[in-house]
Amino acid sequence: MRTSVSLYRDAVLGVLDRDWTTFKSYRMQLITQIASVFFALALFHFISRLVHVQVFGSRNSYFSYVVIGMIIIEVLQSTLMVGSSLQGELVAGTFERVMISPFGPVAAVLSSMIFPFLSSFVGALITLFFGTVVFGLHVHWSTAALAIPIAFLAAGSFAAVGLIFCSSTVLFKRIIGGAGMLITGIALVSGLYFPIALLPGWISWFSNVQPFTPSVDLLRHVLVDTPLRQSASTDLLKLVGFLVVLFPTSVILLRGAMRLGMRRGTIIEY
Amino acid sequence: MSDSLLQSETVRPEDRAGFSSIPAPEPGSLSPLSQTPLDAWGLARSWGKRSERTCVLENLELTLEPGSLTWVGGANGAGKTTLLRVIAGLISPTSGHVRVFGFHPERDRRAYQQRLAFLSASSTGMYARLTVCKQIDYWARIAFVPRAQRAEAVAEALHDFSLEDLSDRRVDRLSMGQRQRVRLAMTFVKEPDLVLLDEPRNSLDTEGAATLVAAIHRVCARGGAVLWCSPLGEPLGLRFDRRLLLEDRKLRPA
Repeated sequence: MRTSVSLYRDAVLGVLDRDWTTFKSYRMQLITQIASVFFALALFHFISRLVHVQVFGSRNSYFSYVVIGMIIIEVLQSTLMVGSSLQGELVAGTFERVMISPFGPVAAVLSSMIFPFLSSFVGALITLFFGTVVFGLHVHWSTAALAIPIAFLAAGSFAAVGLIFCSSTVLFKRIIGGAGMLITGIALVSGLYFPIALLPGWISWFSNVQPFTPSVDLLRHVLVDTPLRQSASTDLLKLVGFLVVLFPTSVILLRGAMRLGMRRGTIIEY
Repeated sequence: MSDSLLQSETVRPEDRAGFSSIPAPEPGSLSPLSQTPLDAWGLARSWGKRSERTCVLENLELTLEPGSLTWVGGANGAGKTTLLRVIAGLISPTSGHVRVFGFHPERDRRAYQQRLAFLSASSTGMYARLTVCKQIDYWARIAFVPRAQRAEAVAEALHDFSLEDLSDRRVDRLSMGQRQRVRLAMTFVKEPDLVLLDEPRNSLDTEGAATLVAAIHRVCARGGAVLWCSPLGEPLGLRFDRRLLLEDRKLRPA
């Protein structure tokens, strides 16, 4: 048992090391990522100057509101990136080797989500840093530390979406358009850029049946002190519920997709 | 070669000598259930939808004995790669069974894959931005080579395939022949007991081919088995214990 744990741990660390080595081998990647965070913040800073609505007490409060939405989008993108990485691995022929390794494809896919997650957390810190230092964002420091466990819970629920996306990649190979559709759709119904109260009734119900709305509400509350729509415990309970239900379901779906791909013989096609 | 190794009729798993008396493995057990490196029977694989199915392998039977080196040849498209992929557990057979040292490819996935290595016929399967050493170390980790033995296993693989001078070079900066040697090192680093090779001589020079032959002999010397697939007409320069031909969906002596 102990040996098994250490073998899996070494393999997971191997995946992390692989992703970190690959990331730092592209020298401009970090710089361009930081620059893109800066420009996105600058864009929303100036857009917030146009906001004169009752929902937001001041222009700054809209800016605070949208910065947390940007962080959520970044975490979401990191989970969906696993689907496109998987497609890259299929093309490169590395997934074939993973398939016939004792570590196995499901464990490998799960492990390959770690680096993008960590990277998105660093991205979130950079966003908060620029937001605070350059654009005058007011972070509620007394409760900011609570964002860490909330972010982990949120990441777990979002990972489920990433795994479902991977299952689709295994079966349908190329679903890049799907990622864009998903991100835009989630941004629409989760209140990432505007309050969900603005949505018409026929679509607003959807805000309550996915993990993104409670995640963004809780993070906004602890980071920039935005009032919650419902109690923190309700949001937290929802988030835990989504994690407990969605994560195992997505792993089962991924296993099923792999088995189906093996039966069809299409598993290593791209 | 024994004719019984090439029988074409399907034999039920329970009728196979030794299988009925073998107890189910303990979860996570890696001890072999059988001394036979490879046992495949009633193997069939077809492609396409029901109305237009193409059968590539049909009722195929193949056993590899410990210490044996077997060649399977055939024309392009005869089904050699499909056969290797089915044995490797990459794709499921339409019907039939495969066992590696008695292990089932799905039920005993970990034990099955720990004993088997597969080199596909291409120049792919590597991370372009990793160095040769990191690449081999990564695949050793994924192959569950224990930490205590990993550094030595990687160093040996680098040595065995004459890659020491290239160990710090990124894979995307290697020639095709050098890449093939890296792929071979990745295949042999976990000291597999059953090695499946699909056109392994691709791009190898004389020295590279010699390192491959030496690695094959080491596997056979420790009681493992090697299955080498290549098209008809390719010069092999190697002495095989058996030579088989995949033709009309079945194996026959070459």
